[in-house]
Amino acid sequence: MNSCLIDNLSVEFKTDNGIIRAIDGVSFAIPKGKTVGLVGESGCGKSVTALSIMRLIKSPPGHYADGRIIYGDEDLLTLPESNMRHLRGNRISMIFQEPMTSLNPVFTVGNQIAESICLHQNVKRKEGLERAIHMLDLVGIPSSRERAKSYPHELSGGMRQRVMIAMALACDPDLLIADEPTTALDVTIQAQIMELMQKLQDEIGMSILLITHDLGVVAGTCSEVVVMYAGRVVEKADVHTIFNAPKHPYTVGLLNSMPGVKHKEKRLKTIPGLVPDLLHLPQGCRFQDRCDHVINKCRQIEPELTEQAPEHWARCYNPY
Amino acid sequence: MLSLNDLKMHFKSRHHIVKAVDGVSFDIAEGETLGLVGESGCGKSTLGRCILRLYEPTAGKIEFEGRDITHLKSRQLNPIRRRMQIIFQDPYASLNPRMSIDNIIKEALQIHGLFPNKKEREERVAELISLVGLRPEVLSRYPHEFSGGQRQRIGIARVLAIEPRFIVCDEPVSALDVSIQAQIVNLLQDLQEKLKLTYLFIAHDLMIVKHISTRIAVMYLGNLAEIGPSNQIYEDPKHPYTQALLSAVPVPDPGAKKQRIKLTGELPSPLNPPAGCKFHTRCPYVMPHCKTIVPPLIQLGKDRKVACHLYP
Repeated sequence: MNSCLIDNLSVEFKTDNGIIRAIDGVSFAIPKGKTVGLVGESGCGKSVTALSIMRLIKSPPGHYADGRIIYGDEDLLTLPESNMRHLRGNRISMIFQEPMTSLNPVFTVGNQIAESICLHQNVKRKEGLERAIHMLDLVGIPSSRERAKSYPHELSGGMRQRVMIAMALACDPDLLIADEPTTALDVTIQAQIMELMQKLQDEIGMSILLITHDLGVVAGTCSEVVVMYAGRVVEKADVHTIFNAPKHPYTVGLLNSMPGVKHKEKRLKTIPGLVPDLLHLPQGCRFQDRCDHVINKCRQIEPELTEQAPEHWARCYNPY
Repeated sequence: MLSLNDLKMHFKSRHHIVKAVDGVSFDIAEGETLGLVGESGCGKSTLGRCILRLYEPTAGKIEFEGRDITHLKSRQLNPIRRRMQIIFQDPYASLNPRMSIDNIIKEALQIHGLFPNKKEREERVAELISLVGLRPEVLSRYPHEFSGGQRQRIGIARVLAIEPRFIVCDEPVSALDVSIQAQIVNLLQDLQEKLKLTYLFIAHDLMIVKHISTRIAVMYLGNLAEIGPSNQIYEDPKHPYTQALLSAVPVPDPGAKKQRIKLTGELPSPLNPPAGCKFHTRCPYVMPHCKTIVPPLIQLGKDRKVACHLYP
């Protein structure tokens, strides 16, 4: 049972130098009640994928070139904007990376949470505020009644991120999209926030799409992993398979470039080179110039995403 | 190489005093890498800048290569600054966008009056840029044309231009992607070996710090909680704060069973730090006298020190 299915999604952006296909034929499913990790480096299309699900890609310059996003039995991409507004922040919510830029500095945090509750649940302002205070309690903010009267600048980074989570969860969504929710936070606060998200997931049974570049966080929280590179899904499988038997050389490279937990190597393994420019993609596989498993065929035709083992997909001719 | 003795850095505003660094002592030996870790706001960057005398310390003593530099005037500092340098966190903000890479590196040489001969200077710049793994063709380009990892390499080339012996690396890889982080960490290690450099490596990513450091110092609200050899700190952390910090590091292994030591709450405001041991508000082992008596940093074993009432 899937909460959401992304099917062959492509998003293009018009730039001064030409059209960029930021994501190209991306397909994956978010199973109900599970956490899917979407990993990859900056510019690989993670955030564009997330914004597409919320249908927040600004047009122009962007547009949905191809594909569907199936939620329930509807395609989100063809839904009228009024229906989409009903879903957004209600059934599907999003947590952004930088809480300071996504909270409104001139309203108290209590009011900001209450706004979304009043809008979607059709309750009076006073009750909305009560529910907002309850949400602040839920995400572990001490003396929530006073804190609800605080403005965003009066709170620390960890507190602001909790407010963002409280806001995202205020209407009991069944799909939460978390775009690097802990990247800006210290490890101790990160651990608290991740634990909180998992606890709330167990309680209300929502599905989570967790976008991150931290493989440690993925290992601790996700059940499925989707790895993206230069706008393409290059590998997807369950979390144990990704960490114990990765197939795609890029996934292997990402895992190797993390300093070991137990044994200490003198040098870190690296992935040489840089991510290709989306305007000038090479012919064939997009990872060829950085790949240590490259063969002749890689330079001619781009590999398809194929099932290399049951439920283990990779886009590679010469996998590990 | 470097010796700090009870260094204090207090910032005064009209109503408050922030004790960003409040009595820190340690030594760094030549050729070693001391990792400095702690949560944001604990004073680690302030300490790094104090050492370089970018701030005038409130009290205490900084000795660099055997010389007291705590209160030197800026003219006397200039020759010393040639020997100690800093690599900043944000490679986007630390390069002048209106200068070509060539001029950015040359400026460092000119300020210190090195390589006055034009041809020699150009050779030196080309040598530096290949030392950090970039091609000399990039010299005519401008900072915006480079990726984050490349800019960090350019920043490192500029720092190396004047042949420093000691470099403060203030979160040098935090803004970079995982695969690029590894490239820069390797570069820093290669350069250390080749040029016999000494590093103070400030970071909040504990796995990177563990990888690169010979010794590690853990800071909490302006004080050292613990200091010792890297492998000992990671395998057998003594201070409850170090224990909690390490147990919060996400492990890249989905099968790992985690025993997380929960820290409740957040770093208290440095405007109004708790009395006694500053960590007592979050400590799982808090005892009554922790709330009143400040624990001194005591020797524990051959080269370890810890500031906690649980020891000895």
